[in-house]
Amino acid sequence: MQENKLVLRAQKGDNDAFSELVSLYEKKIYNLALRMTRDREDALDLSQEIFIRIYKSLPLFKAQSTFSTWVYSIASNACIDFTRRESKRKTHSIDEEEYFEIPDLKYSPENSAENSELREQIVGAIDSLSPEHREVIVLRELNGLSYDEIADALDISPGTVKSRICRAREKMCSFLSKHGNNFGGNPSKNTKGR
Amino acid sequence: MNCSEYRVIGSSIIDNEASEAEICQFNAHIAECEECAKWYETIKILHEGSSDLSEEVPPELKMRVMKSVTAKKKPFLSQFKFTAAAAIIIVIAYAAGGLSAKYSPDAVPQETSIVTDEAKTAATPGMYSRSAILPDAEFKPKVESAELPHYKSKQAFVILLHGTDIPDILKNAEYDEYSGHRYYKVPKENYELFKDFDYDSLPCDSEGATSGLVIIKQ
Repeated sequence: MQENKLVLRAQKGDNDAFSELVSLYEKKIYNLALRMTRDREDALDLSQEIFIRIYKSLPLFKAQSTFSTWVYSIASNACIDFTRRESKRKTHSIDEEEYFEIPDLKYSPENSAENSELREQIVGAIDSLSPEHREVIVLRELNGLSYDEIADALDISPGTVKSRICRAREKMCSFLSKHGNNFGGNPSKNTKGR
Repeated sequence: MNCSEYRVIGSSIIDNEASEAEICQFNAHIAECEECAKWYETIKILHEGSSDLSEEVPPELKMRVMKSVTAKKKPFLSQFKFTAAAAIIIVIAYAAGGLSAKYSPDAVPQETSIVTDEAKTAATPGMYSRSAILPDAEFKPKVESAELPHYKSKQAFVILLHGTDIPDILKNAEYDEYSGHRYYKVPKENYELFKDFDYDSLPCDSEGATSGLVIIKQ
């Protein structure tokens, strides 16, 4: 069934329709939450919170944007709230980008193939990013949103999305380079003033 | 244009977000700049490697979500019984010197809060009284003991489910939002206006009894 019909039914209180919407978005939302929390239990809780927020806000969805954009907008706000809660919990203050310096090795894949190693390195690099950079990379790379869609969901300009994604990639390259994985390049070069 | 600016273009090429002109510009640049050419190869690898990072969703997620949203909402009045119990417990704790935290909006009970027998017992007259008139026919106007933990003083509210039409009488009223509801503050001098208000016109959701009027009496 078409997504907009499901949304209309869900807005009228049809929980079966809402259940189908959950099925459509659960993988995207869960993986966004997983990368933002870097913890499976927290990701599960955050995903649940996001879907409940969506459910409660359904009467407010007026189709002025796509449902997908609206969902990501709610998810993004929930992720920001989570990040704030987490940062309040932390007692020590360190540089934002260094905050998540230690990659979460629990995401290590089961097999020892090269791809698995690369995957683990990339996950570590994403986890090392600030929440702001991590969010755009996850929305782009894992969820496949266009720059315009990310801009709408996060309420920032497409130009900001473009530069923020590039900056996030540079940070990831720096992280990998620092940890001895530069994939044959030297990405940490200072590019200013050239 | 410097290398930083070229790299923004290179990153957008990876994402299929660059124009033809930008692609030409960038290709011309990396033909001369070995560092940017290496950087571009690196982020291409990162991009390709990122496409397979998704993990499977725990099956309990959907069950938990649907259980939450389909849970029968507790009658509106019950929430305040629970609140009253919490308030009394907090007062006792204050008296015992064991609690110093201030009341906060976080203390508002969720719609799925379970009202225990202890809570019902605790909601006895003695602190503040209120009259509650609800759109659900199941509830009759009556006086209960209650205190809203997130407000320090006695206060009247009309509680509306978020997203529903707002009655004219509340159009200019100040409100707060908690747990999917709007709490419209009713100024003390306006209490009389609500005596003849058509309470049945207050919107409620399909579960019923999630909107209502609460007046904390002196």
